[in-house]
Amino acid sequence: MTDEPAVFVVDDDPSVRRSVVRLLETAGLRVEGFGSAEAFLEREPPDGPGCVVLDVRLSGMSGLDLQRRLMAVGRPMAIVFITGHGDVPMTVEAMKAGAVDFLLKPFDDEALLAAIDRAIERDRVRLREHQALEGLRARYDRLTPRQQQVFGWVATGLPNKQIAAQLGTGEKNIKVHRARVMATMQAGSLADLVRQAERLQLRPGGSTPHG
Amino acid sequence: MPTSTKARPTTDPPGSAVGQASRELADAEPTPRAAGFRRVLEATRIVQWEADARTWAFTYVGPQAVRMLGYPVERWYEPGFWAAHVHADDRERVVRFREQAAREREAYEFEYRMIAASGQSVWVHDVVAVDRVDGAPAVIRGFLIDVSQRKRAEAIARASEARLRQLIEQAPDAIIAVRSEGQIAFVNRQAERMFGYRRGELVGRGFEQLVPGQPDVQCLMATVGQGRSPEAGGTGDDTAPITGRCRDGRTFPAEINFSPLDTDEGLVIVSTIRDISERLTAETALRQSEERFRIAATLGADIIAEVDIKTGAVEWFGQVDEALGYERGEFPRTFDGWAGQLHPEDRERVMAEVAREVVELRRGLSAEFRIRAKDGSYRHWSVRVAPRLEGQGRPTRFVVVCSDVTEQIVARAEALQHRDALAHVARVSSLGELTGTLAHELNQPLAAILSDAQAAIRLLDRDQPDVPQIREVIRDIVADDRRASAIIQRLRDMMRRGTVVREPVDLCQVVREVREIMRSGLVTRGITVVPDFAGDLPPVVADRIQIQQVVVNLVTNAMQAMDGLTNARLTLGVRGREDAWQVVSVADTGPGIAASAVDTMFEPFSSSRPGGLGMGLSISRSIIEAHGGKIWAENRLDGGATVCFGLPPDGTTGG
Repeated sequence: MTDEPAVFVVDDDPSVRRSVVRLLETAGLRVEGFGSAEAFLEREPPDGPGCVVLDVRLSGMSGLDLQRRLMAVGRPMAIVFITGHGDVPMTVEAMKAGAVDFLLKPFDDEALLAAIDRAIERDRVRLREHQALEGLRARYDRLTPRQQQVFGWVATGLPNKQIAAQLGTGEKNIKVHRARVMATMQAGSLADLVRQAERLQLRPGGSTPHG
Repeated sequence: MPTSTKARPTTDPPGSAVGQASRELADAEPTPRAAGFRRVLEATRIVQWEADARTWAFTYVGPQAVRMLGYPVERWYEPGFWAAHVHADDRERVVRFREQAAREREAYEFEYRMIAASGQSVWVHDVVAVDRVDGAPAVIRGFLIDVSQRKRAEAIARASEARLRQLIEQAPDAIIAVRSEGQIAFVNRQAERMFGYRRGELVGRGFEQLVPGQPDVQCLMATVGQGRSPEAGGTGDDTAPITGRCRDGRTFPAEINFSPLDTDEGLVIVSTIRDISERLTAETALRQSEERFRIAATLGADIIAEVDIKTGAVEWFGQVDEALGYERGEFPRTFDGWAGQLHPEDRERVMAEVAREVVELRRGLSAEFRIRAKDGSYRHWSVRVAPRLEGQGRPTRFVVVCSDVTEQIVARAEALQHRDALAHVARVSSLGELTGTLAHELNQPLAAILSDAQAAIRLLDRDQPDVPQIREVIRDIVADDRRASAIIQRLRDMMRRGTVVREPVDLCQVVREVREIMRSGLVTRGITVVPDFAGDLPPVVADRIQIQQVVVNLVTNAMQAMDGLTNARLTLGVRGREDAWQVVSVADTGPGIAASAVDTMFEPFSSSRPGGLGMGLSISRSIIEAHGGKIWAENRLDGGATVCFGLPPDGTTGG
């Protein structure tokens, strides 16, 4: 995994594409250009943080279509839209769908680079959160089914005695399970554990939406 | 030709002079009286003969026989001469007739043809008397008379009578012969037709029933009958109007003409009747049109001139002086004087056309020219010129019908101005529709330029600037700047109000440019563009901007027709035709043109779109028609509409 951010420029106007790629290269970024949304989709997703500089009007699949498609296939990417002629409804739609910025051509290099910086930063955060969640899930998966059940009830704030009654066992057993859960999940406190449960979207009884 | 075989008892008794003479000839002892008769007979052309009634051999033939048939007399005495020289067609009949007649009669006559020595047929009339011994025919005697001339005359008379009858039957006029008592003796076929009767229903009836209640006709007829001429020397030139009455009661106007004819059966009045209802209709129409002509001329709607080519004199009908602001009679009454008032730019052309078309080629001509009024202003006249043709050769006169069309010309010019103004408005308003597209198109190169320029600055800011790379960047900047200029130029072209420019235009190029201008709109709507351009088309003479305007209109319509469709496809075609016209077609895959709109879609304010002004296609049509071209639309069998316009290679007329 590399931490070097990658920028993808998708514009079907060759001279715009070429000049933007060149500008970003001179700014020291790792840049790839694509002439259509379809061409971009064929590329492997990047490992590290990145962003897409995306023209709204493309022949074939449009920029907004590409944005929706990336969300649908679980490949959310930070997007900076660029357009020759934007209108308000189009901008609102793009921003609602999670675009980082919406720049009108011709745009200043500082504005573009700032937008790209924000996008990469947001992608880093997204990536970090994504990675944290992945770690959490991995730890959760290491729990026994009984421990996962106990985790679910603890996160609801129920006292041990009542959990024992729910699960039809002794209060002492619950205490032991609870300690194992805390250790495996690397939770420092009950509050930590509750936050983890929220992030894992645990339900009482101990199953996550992801199964 | 039928042979006359009429036999009748001769009026000559056996003891007549001729019979006596013959008998004495047979006796070979001529008395002085017999010799005298014989000389008389021999002096005529009548051939006397005598034959034996048992052998039919001639015992005597007069010397005139030589002149009649050309054979020497000795030949006639050869046995069987007579029968051998009767015409083959008559022989059997006359031989049988002669034997029977000799047995049964004292005398007989018959006619037949004989063959002369020259080979020609000669008609003879044979008068024969029979002498009997003990009741049986012993000697026959007779005269042969050459009747060829009479026979010929009879044949001619028969033929001419048939011809005359045919003529009378086929005459265009009704011919009715009336006896002096007023009864119809004969009618021809046209009379049957004209009055609606059959021949049998008319003959023997009174003539009065065909022209009832017209005593003057009866009177005229009586005059013709009595005096053989109603007026001195009148021989049928007197024509009277009558009203004929048909069998079905219908009446018609006619002219009647009488002429008297003496016949074996007494005096007959031959009347010739002509139905003149058609002529009267035509005469009425002519009178009416003359009246209209006169009224039109005096009202000043048209001014008419009749020009005498030889003298150059012009006779004006209508108020030419008033029309051009002159005092009555002041405008020139000569062709040269008139020509002098034509606008100098028109004079030569009009005069040459008149000389060539009207005088040389004897044809009609339409022309327009300006003519100076007394105050120095010019009026526009539209004229039709027609030669007056009398016989062959050059016409001697021609007629000019002149209309003052100044008001129409001014109105037409105003309409043209309005149309140009409207086209401009439409262009500018469609610019509004295109603004988004154009801004997008313009911002593309501007974005490239800005990014490249800023990249170049960054490259220059480096410790060791990469000069070749910077040069490349700047080249790209120049190229994109030019691209931006071209877009602005196109915008300016469309905004400009200026006059129409006719120049050679590459239609493929025009369509390609429109595609560029509209690219972003097409892309946004997901429309696939299929170019279908014929290669190597020569340019046509046209106003590039106006034609571009038309293509923009058509493409805009096609885009709107396909709004919201998947698989929308726009086919842009440019094709050459055999007649050198070029046809641009814009085909969409939309729902096609509604049947109700097909006829009116090129009319103004006929938009089928809510909020549409409905001017696009009507302006397109006026632009194309001003180029001498045509615009049309059709639905395709596979769905969708195609709108086409064709332009002639030389941009003909208009503006």
